[in-house]
Formats: sequence, structure tokens, C-alpha cells
Amino acid sequence: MVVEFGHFALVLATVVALFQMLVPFWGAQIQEQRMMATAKPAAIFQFLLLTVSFLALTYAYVVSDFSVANVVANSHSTKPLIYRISGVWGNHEGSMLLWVLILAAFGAAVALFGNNLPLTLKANVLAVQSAVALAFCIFLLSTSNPFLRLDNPPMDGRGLNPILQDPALAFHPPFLYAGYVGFSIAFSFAVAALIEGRTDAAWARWVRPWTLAAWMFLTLGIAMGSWWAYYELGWGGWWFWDPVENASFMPWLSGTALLHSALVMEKRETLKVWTILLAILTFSLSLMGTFLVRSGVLTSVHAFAVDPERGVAILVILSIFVGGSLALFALRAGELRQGGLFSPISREGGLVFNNVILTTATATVLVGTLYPLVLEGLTGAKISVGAPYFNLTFVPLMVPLLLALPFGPFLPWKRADLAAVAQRLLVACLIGLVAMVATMAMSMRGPWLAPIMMAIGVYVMAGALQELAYRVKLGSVGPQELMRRLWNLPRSMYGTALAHFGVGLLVVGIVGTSAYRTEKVLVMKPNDKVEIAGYELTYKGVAPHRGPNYREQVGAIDVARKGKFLLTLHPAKRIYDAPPQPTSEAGIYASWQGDLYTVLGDAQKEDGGFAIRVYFNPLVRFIWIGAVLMFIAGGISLSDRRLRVGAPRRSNRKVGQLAPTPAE
Amino acid sequence: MTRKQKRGILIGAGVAILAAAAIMVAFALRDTIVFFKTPSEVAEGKVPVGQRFRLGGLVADGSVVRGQGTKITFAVTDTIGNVPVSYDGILPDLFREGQGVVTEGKLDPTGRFVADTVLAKHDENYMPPEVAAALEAKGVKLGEGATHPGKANN
Amino acid sequence: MFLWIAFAVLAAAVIAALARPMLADQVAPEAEDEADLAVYRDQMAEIDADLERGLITRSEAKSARAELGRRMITRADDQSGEAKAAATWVPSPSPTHLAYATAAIVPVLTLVIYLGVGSPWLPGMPLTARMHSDPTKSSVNELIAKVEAQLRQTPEDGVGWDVLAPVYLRQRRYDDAANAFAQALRLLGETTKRLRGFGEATVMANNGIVTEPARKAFERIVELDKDNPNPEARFWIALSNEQEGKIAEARLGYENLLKDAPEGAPWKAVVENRLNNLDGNTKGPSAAVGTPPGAKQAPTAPPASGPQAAPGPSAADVAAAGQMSTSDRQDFINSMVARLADKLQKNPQDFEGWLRLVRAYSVLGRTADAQRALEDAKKSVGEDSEKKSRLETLASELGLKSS
Repeated sequence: MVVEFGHFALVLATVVALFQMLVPFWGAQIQEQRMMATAKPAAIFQFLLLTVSFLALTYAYVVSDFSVANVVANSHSTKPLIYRISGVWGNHEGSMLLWVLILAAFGAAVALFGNNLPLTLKANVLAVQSAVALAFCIFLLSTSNPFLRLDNPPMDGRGLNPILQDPALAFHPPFLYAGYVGFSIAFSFAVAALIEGRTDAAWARWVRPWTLAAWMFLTLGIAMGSWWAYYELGWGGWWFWDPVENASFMPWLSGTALLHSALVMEKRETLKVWTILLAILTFSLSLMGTFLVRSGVLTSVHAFAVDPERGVAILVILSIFVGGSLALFALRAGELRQGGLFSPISREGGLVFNNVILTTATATVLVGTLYPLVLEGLTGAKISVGAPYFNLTFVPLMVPLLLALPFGPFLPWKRADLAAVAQRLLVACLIGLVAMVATMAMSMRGPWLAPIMMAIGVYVMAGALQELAYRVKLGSVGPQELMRRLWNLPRSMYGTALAHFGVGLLVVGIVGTSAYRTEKVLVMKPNDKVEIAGYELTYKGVAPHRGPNYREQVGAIDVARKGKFLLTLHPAKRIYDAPPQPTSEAGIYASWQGDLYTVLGDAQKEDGGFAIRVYFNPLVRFIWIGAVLMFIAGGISLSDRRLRVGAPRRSNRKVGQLAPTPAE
Repeated sequence: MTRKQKRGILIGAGVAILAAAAIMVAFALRDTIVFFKTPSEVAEGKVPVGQRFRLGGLVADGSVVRGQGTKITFAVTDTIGNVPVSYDGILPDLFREGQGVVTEGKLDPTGRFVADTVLAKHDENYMPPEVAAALEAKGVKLGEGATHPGKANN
Repeated sequence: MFLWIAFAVLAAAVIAALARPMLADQVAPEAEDEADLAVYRDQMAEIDADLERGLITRSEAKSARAELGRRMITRADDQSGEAKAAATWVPSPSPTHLAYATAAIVPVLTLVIYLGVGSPWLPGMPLTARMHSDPTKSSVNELIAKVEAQLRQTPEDGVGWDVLAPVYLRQRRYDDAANAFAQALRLLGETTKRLRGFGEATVMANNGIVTEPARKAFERIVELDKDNPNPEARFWIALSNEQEGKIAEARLGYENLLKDAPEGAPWKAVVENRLNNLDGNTKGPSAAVGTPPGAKQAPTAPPASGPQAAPGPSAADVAAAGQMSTSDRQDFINSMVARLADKLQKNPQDFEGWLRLVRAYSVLGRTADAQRALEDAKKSVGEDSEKKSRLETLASELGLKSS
């Protein structure tokens, strides 16, 4: 009953999407306001219907309705409630439903909060958005319908892949999708602009908040995925350059470029063609990511749901939207008027530099991800492209970008004096050098490049802080004036500084853990001791334990530092009931210096010992803290009145009367 | 500077970065990629000693021998060729005799494959696609009714 | 019915929402450029604010203002120049007509698609509701699931395990059966029945190998039943000796079993087979799966033949089966069963043969075939009530439907 209602709602949402694609667009063509006005209720109802549909599927999971084929395939009656819910999107069909739901949510948000948009633009944007939704609804109904029923329901399901039964992974896909799918708004705006044949600074201003929101979610989604891989896969690594990871990283890179180029377009009304192209490319990369993950054309640790037929369907959708939008771009880009002038050394120049590097980096990741596929198609040779490739191509590109990063916010628009800016950054450079010397002093081993990279990371962080200090004229004004200036600084400026600071922190974390990690693999018998990075670990033995839907062997390892007992770590080996599959649970002790990471291996048959792997990952937390700072920074910028979605009020106030608006 | 000159500088810089990246990509693709080989290809002597590659197949039944500490040896087979592998470390959770496995490392002069990475996939029924394809190419029956040593009887 | 009303309400709400703007009165066209100008005004205000905060210099502010001003003028020119001409190549329908068309097309299209993919006749089946449904109408699997769910709540309920264990055994879920018997033994104490169930299930779960726990269970049976030692347990012990390579002890066990066998015991042939096997193959231990005397559930082969039965597998066959790999053995057994079925087609009067066939199908998990064989057997016995009741018993034992 509930399930069928959800199914009906999904079908109705598909029909509404068809309506929303046709009628508002038609209305925009003939300038019929009443037809354009249908876009808003259509977008809202499309979202509501998909919500009903999604909730119905969730209900089927919660009550374990095994007459739904999808529930049978992915759930089990003994599973804890939270994983019964997260199981909804832990499989192909459910995750695609979530995908469409988020797509519709962004459409509805534009309909609701986009009151400042011209009616025609809004109608076109929502029509394009709905075209994407329609394609995926049809895809859902025809090849991946989560509501298919069974006449003879079994008494229990087959269970969710145990590796997915984890809190971080439970909420990683919704964030990742919100990021992926959020770029659809930028795409829809770009296509709508091409259809109307006009783009200007106002367009960029309307697009930026949406892009920023998508970018925030994607940042957090990637960070959560990396965090999950770190503690669940039991290898102690946090990034594997795995195709599926790359699939989410490429839209992030080009989305970051888009954020920066839209800034130039808004301020100077230049880089129009480029920004439109980036918006199209970013969403195309998102679609490609969906295709790569869902089709299983690439080998990956994450590829758990693969089906060639679905892959082909997504490939068709991908080619229609990418091909169509690029063709429209080729047709219309020439009509876009060029904007303001700028010197190569200027804020604009800096942002162009940022864009060139970021898109080049995206391209290198793309080549590394697709090359095995192409080579296999051409010669049949099977290869894998791993970390060494990316270390050789991606990493060198990041060095000039990071070096230039602190300069950016200091550069004035139009033209700048590079020497003057360099002088202002002297302090940041010095702090970076100090960090380099300190790194070298603290650890004699490790690659020679590591202290330099460490210095760059610290320099980026210091540069971000220095920009704020410069803006409030730190040191040259009294404390009261300082507070006033701090208070008056636009929030977007805090957002920029915090995001850049987060990038620096991320770099420090990556360098620290990659260059200075220590690892020991050994067989331990009860009361054996091992020392690593100044910690003394004593293995106490293992004990069996029974969880809600798994059995496990839990090890106990006492951690002490300088003879003082700190805590007991409990790495475990689990075997789930359904499906019976082993997983490792790492025992982690987190501190500012780094993580102590322990994994239980196999029991040694002869002597009752256990193979145990111990890592010390210095500074590894900074990676995720950096990413979370970027997320928060996005939020701060989004709350700035300049970027607020409904910002420009329709009033007839005269320009001169507008008082400076402090951040509300 | 004229508008043209400014644009020229920008475009020039962009092209320079792209060219540098392209050179690095070409260089990296030549040197860092790892080929995938089957045990029979190795047994036929198609792979030189010391070259890094991935070896994929099934863990041969009864071949897993645990040595001192975390040392372990086993054989990877595609039922035609058989390559002995040695590895020092903790095996993935799903490593089992008769299951698909991908190992990465080099051959030593005695023909033993010294692996530094062992990958097993996170799915009970999953076989790495390279392994499946390679085995099928060698005429090994897969899928329904295949003799999977751990599962043949029930 | 309620479902269809819900569908109708949902569709009506959607149609109303979509049609409403199109049925509204024509509103005065809004100035398209108003939205753009609002943005520019806002940007102008920002320049002033930044200047005020000292973020930009006075000259920067001046040039920025000038540029913004130029942009506003250009925008205004564009607006008046191109003036959003309505495209002429597309038809301009009346919005009112379009609203009616929407009201007609949306529900029809939705219904057509939904009827293609949906299953409106299937009720929802939440697990808890199914658990509490009328037991007389439930399937065996539902009943098992109920007991299982109950046992997850109260794992110390020995009676539950005791009920469940033989059912598992019959369903060939040997691991579960062994575990259930073990629980029942632990909670309710030893009986020969539970011990035998545990032993058998463990042997089956290990593909015919008599493991240490199983052997202990069988030894315990012999101990408990000193006066009338269960021949089955003794057989398994002997087999375990054979598997361990203690050939002499195994031989002694089999011979004693034969000596004590009552006249015409149907399992004598099996034991003799094993003995022959020992003679023919004394060199190494054979991990053969034996067929226990009188076992109701033969593990992988049909039960041993009675003296007057149609020729079943010969001793050589069984011996050969013992040395095969498990999957080959499965094929072998299937072919044997097929032979038996052929014979019964030609000679349907062989009642024992029918019993064996039904059992064999059931053991192999071919329930449908077992059901069919049972029906055929019933036809063949005609009005013989004694044979009929034996068939009924067999059917209920195997969990088959007996009409």
C-alpha cells in the first residue's frame, strides 16, 4: 500500500518533470507569462512527489517489507535501524532515487528562493533542470526501478554489504550526491543563458551561491568518503586515486575553478565564455562520475553494483546532455560579448592562473582515470594507473598553484604591483621557512621534498591569516578600531581566508602523513610489546564478542607513552551474519601529533599469536579538519548578503540612498 | 601593453602550463603504469625479471603456507599456469584459497613473484574483472556451476 | 480501493497546482531588466561599502563605479534594442486550453505508465505483520522464520531449538541444524534423539566427514543405550575409524554391526558395502560418505536398497562415489536418481522404489520433482491403505504437501 503509493508518486513525478521541461520553456519562447509561471509549482511538486516516493521506499526498508525486491536484495531483518535506513541508498536503485530527489530539491530551491531572477531565465533554468530529472526518472523506471514487487516474498533479505554498515558511509553518499547534483544548477543556468543568448555580471551573481552550495557538499562528501576509507578499509590510507574517488574529485576540481571564474565574471563581466564552459564541464564530469561508478567499466574497490545495461543507459543520458550542451555552446558562444580589460598581473590574472592550473589538473586526473579504459579498448592490454602516476602529474601542478594562492586575495582588480604584494607576504614566507627548518630538525629521515612541501602548506595558512590582518590594518590601528574593522569585514572575506587556511592545513596533513608515517607489521602473543613513534603498545589478547548482526574477535592493546598508561585500543575482526563476510575494524588513538592506528590480522595457527599491524600517521587529522574548514568557509560566504540568494530586493530606492549594509 | 599583448601573455602562459602538464602525463604514463598479467603468461616467460606488474588469478587450493611471523607463500593460478608468490604482511580479509586475488610486485630470478600488495575484493561473489576476463580467455569456466572449491558442496 | 482514492487525490493536487497559474488572469508584464538592475544597484552599494571599510582605494572605487555605470547603460540599450521578441516559430496556445490539456494528459499518462510497472494488487507486507499472521495459513518458511525471530529474543529457550533443529535437518540446512541441536542439548540435556540429530547434522555439514564433535556424540549414544546400542551410531563410529585410517577397528565395528543385525535389516547391505570397500581399498583411508543404516535422511545418496528392491546403486557404484570429488559425486547421484526414475516409469508397481525416489528428490532439494513423484506413487498404489498411509508419513516427514 505505502510502497505502491510511493511508486505511483514516482511515476507522477516523471510526468510532472515532462510537463516542467515543456511548458515553461515553451512559455519562455513565446513570452507567455502564465506558462512560465507554471515552472514554480511544477518544480515544487516534482520535489514533493519524489520525497513521498523516497519516504515510501525508506518505509519499506524500515518495516522490512520483503515483498519489495530491492529490500530483499539489500536488507536483512536483523540489521540495526540506522543501516536499514542507510541501506535505502546503499544500493544502485535507491541511490539513483536519491540522486533524482536531490536534483529535484535543487530545482525546488531555485523555484522558491529565486524570486530575484527574471521570469524568463527562471523558466528556462527550471526547464533544463527538469530535462535532466526526466532523463533520470525514465532511467529509474525502466532499468532500475526500486519499487518492483515479488509475489512470493521470502522471509528474510540478503543483507547489506557489511562494509557499508558504517556511520560515516551511511551519510557519505547523500552529501556526495548533493555536491554532484548541485552542479546541475550551474549547468542549467549555463544552458539557459546560452538559449537566451545573454550572460552578464548579474547571471554570475545568481549562479554563484548555488555553485558554492554544491561545492560545499561535495567537499564534505569527499572528506567523509576519505575518512571512511581511512578507518574502515584497514590500510591506514586516506586516498587511493581509485577511479571512483577520482570521479568525485574531478567535478570538485573544476567546480573550484568555476567558483573562482564566476567571481571574475561577476566583478568584471569578463571570462564569460570560459565560465559558461566550466559550468557545463563541471556537471558533465559529475554525470561521468555517476556513469563510471554505476556502469562498472572501471575496476574499483567501490564498484559493488555493476550492470552493463544500466551503464549504457547512463552513457546515453551522458552523451545527450554533454553533447547537446556543448553543441549549443559552440553555436552560441560567439554571440557573447567580451567584457572588461585587465593586465596579466591583477586579481583577474591570478584567477585565470588558478583556472588554468585547476582545469589542467582535472585533465591529468581524467587521463589517468580513463587511460586504462582507452588502452584496453585499443590494444587489449590491461594496466592499472595508480598513485605513482598522480604523484608525477597532479602533485607538481599543485605546487605553483599553492605558491600563488596567498597572492590572489592581495591583488587588486585590473592591474597590480607584484613586488608590493610579495613584500606584504614576506611574513608568511618567513613563517613557511621556519616550518621547513623545524620539519627538517624534527625528522632527519623522509623524502627531501617533504620539508619544502610542509613549508608551502604553512605558508598558505599564514598567507590566509595575513590577508585578514592586512584588511583590518592590524598593528597600525588601536584595539577599538580593530574590532570595528573586524566586525565590518564582509563575511565572504572571512570565508575566503578560512577556505584558503583549510587548504594549507590539508597540505600540511597530507605531507605529514605521506612522508613521515611509520608502519610495523608483526606477530604478537599476549603481553608482547612493541614501540612506535614514542608509544609503547602492549598486546593483551583477543576475546570473542557478539554484535547485533555480527560476531567479532576483539583485540585489546594497551597504549602507554613514557610509561604512562593512556588507553586500550580495540581493533577487531568481524564476520557478519548476512551476508557472511569478514571486515576489519581498526583501533585508532587520535591525537594532534597524529593517529595511532592498529589492525588485527590473522591468527597464527601454531602459537596462538595474532598478526598485528600498527601505524603511526602523523598529522593525518589535519586533512579532514582542513576539508571541514573549507565546508564551514563556504557556509560563511553563503551567509554573506552579497551572495544571499534573494539578495537584491525589488525596491525603487535610488543608488545614492543605499547605505552600506553591515552583515546581518 | 595593448589588449592583444595582454591576451597573448595570458594565452602563452596557459599554453605553457598545459604543455608542461602534457609532457608530464606522457612521461608518467610510460613509467608508472603497471601491466596486468596472468599466471600462464608468467609461466611462459613473457615477463622479464624485475619488472613491476600485477598478477591476478585464483589462490591455488592447498598452496597457502604460513611461515615465520607474517610471511606467507601461496600460488596464484589460472588453472593453466601456476606462479608461486611470497608476501610479508597482513592479508586482506577476503583472502581465501580458491578466491580471486590480485597481487602487485616483481619476479625474482628464481621465478618466484615477490608481492608487496595483495588485493582481494570486498564482495563475496566478486572476482576482479581482469581476473574473470583473463580466466575466461583461458577457457576456465566461470559463473553458475563453476567449481569453486569452497562452494562446490551444499 | 483506498489506494486508488489516494492516487486520485495525489493526481488531483498536482493537476490543480500545475493548472492554476495558467488559469490566472493575465498579469502585467514585469520589466525584464528590473532583476538585472537590482543586481547592479546592489553592486554599486557594495563598492560604497568597501570604500567605507577601507578595503579599496578611492581611485579603485571610482573606476569600478564608472565600469558598473557603463554596464547598466549597455544593459538598458540591449533591453530596448532586442525587446524580448516572442519567437514566431512556435505556436502560441491559449494558456486556458493548455491547462485543460494538462488536466487530461497528466493523469492518463501517469496511469498508463504506472499500470505498466506497478503492482497495485499486492498489499504491503511488513515483516512484523507477517510474523503475527495466522499460523495455520503460514508456509513452513514463515513458521521457521517466526521461531527464529522468537529465538533471537530468547536464545535460552531450549524447546524452541529442539523444535527447530529437526526442521533444519530436513531442509538440509546442516550448519543451522547442528547449531540448533547443540543448543537444545545444552539447554535441555542429552537424549539419544538430540545426540543423533547433532551427530548427523555435523557429519552432513562437513560433507560426510565424521568430525570429532560428531564422533563424541555418537559415542555418547552408545554409552547411554548400552542394552540396545543404536546401530546407526555404531555405524558412524566405525566410519569415523575408517576415515581416520584405523582400518582394523573400522572392520571390527562393521562386523559387530552385521553380527548384531536383526534378520532382514535393510541396512545390512550398506554395511556390507563398506566392508567390501575396506577389502578392496585397505591401503588408504577413504573419506567416503557412507549411508547410515536406517537413516531417515541420507546425506547425499538415496537410502540403501532393501533386498527385494529394484537394483539401486551397486557396491561398486557407492565405492566409486566415495572417491569422487563432491561436484562429480553430485552429478553421479543425479544420474543414479534419473536411472531409478526411468525404471519406475516402466515398472510403477515397485513401491519401495517410489519411496526411495521421493526421498532422493527431496534430499537433493528438488522439491517439485519430489512432489510429482509422490503423486505418481499415490496413483500406483491404488486403494492399498497401508501403503497410502506410509506415503502420507513420508510426505509429512519430508515437508511435502500430502493431498
